Amino acid sequence: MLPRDFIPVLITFLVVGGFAWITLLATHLLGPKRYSPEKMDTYECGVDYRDDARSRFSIKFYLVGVLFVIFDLEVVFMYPWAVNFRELGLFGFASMGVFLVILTIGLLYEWKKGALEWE
Amino acid sequence: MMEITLSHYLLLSAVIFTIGVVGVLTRRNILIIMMSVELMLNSANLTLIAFSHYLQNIDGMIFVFFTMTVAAAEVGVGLAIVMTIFRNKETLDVANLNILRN
Amino acid sequence: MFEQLISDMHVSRMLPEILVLVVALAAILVDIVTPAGRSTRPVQITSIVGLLVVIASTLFVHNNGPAFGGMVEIDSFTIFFRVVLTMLTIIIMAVSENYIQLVKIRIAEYYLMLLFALFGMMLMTMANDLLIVFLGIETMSVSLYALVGMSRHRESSNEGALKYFLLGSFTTAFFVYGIALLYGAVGSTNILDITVYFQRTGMNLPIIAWAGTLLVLVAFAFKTALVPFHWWSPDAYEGAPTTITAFMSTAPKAAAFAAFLRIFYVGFGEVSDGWTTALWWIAVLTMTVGNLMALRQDSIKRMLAFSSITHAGYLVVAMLTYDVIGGAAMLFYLVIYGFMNIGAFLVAIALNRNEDDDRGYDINDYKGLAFRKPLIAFLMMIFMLALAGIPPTAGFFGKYYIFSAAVKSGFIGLAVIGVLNSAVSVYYYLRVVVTMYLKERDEKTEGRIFWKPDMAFAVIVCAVLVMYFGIAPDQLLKVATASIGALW
Repeated sequence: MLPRDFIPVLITFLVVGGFAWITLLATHLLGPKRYSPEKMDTYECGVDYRDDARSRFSIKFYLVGVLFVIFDLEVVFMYPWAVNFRELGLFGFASMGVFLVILTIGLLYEWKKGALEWE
Repeated sequence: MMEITLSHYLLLSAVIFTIGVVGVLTRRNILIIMMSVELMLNSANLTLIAFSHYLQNIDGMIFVFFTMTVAAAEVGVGLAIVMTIFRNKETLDVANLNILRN
Repeated sequence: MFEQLISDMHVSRMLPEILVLVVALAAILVDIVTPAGRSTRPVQITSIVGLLVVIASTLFVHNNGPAFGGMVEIDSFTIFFRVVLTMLTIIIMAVSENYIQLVKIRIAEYYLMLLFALFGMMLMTMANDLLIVFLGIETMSVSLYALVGMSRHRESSNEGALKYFLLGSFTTAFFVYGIALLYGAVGSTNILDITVYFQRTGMNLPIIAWAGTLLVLVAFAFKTALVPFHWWSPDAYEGAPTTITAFMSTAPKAAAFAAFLRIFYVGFGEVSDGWTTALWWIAVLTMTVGNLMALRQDSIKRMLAFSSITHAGYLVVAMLTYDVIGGAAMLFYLVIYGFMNIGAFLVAIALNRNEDDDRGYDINDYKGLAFRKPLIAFLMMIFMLALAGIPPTAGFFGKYYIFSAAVKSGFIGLAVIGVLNSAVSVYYYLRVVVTMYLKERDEKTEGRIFWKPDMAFAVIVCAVLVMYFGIAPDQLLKVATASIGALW
């Protein structure tokens, strides 16, 4: 591969980064600046902030995160399977069926153990 | 223009792998150590992909799928272990874990 | 193209593995329908009955050959390990129910993780492709990380699990990187392709192939806890619930050695001059360091943990002979070591005084045990003599076969170091026997004894097998020789 082949990637970076910077810069330069205590608040719409953002947050987020990572990655195996679905025929269909049954039992387990309960 | 060859990819992945190793050996925070391990695994993935492309052989890419899934499962269990530690000790610093001798 | 692929699957050849998976899924369903807070006994019974069916299917259904397009190979070597690993897992499961109630683990995941670990181990023993080796090792390891940390309220268990997990995933990264480099050199991850490649190159390898081989060697040295890659093992062994310590020091070690053997004998056989040199030093270090550490321990659990490192060293001595006699000696030793080590750990559990299973493995608790509980003391003596390699136990023949194989292959220096080490190890094993039989009873250290019928049964089975293979070792040796022959 030549470096030339990566030019589209570079252009994407430039466009994305450039758009963000130009928008920020433009609002900063063009917008009128009239400060008041209300406007300097964290949430201008009126909601008072409660405490520091760096506090600990609930363990529930961690559990959902872990479950998501695992179920999310199983899809990786479905892409190559889906592409070759016709050629693989009944055998391929049955294989994926077995895979999904195992996953479903895992999901059933999570459900019954209460990992999906939010409260 | 200079061409990007196999050796560039290998060099890049070797550098990332080394960064990961140094991270594991020098950092004291458990989460950062886990991130360094992920870095090492991903550099191995990059090596596999680079070779797979170079050899025009699909096996390497399939291996990467499995590495990714296994890494996710490993992190899942690892985070659960970290949670139990945190509940009992309220720290994520490996230097504070010294009940077991050595 | 796909028709060929599908006809090469031979899924039925993996019947025992599929059954293990079915048992695991069935156990999950049993756990789901059991109301929360109830005993885990139903899951235990499901698992044990299922595993007995697995052993039956291994012994009575003969369907050998490659499966999954050559990614796994079912031969007598595989069958040998299938039976051994399943048996060791059944013994551990059988004694676990009362124990996990005692140490307040009380969750069915304990059995589920054991089943998944068994599945991973079985994959390792049949793997004919580095991908399957990797998947097997990881399935086993991830389950073991969770098992070590099962006693969630106990800090030493948390800590052991964390150290095991961090070092284990660190090594996994090295393993994958090594496989990636080998794949780059060979163009395939199949072991037979690697063999063909090494036949072509001989010892004149490109640097990436050397680096890949070295990294794979390091990964296996870690999984089998060889010095200098053993640092995780004493902590993980001490932190884990003791039934899991007994399990980890036997079955996963046997499975790791099985994969180690297949990859290095079949795949890297052509470059054996390279790796036997490395293993020579590793064997010497492993035997000596493990022994020196075990000498200093007053806790039985920690002593057994360090001595299991030494035993791994003896196994490496057998392995680096790289011939049928040494390989057979290694398989023989793996089996009898499994039974004697599990037996010793189970006796240690029976005598543990501490509710929480943390400390309370002090050797002083064994003072005068022979007068208090003669049967337990006698059984412990059998295991200690077997571990020390004293006749008429099976441990003697295990060591005899290993060191005579080493001498026959010309590793005389190594055999001498091995015998000297095993003489040193007699000290700390006999110290237990002396404490039990010759020391006065001490009322202060006498606590309750946890000796339930299931425990007694398992310990007696282990002791009988250790004695039986000591008196009639020929049968097992013949089976081991036939099994290792499949690799040539």
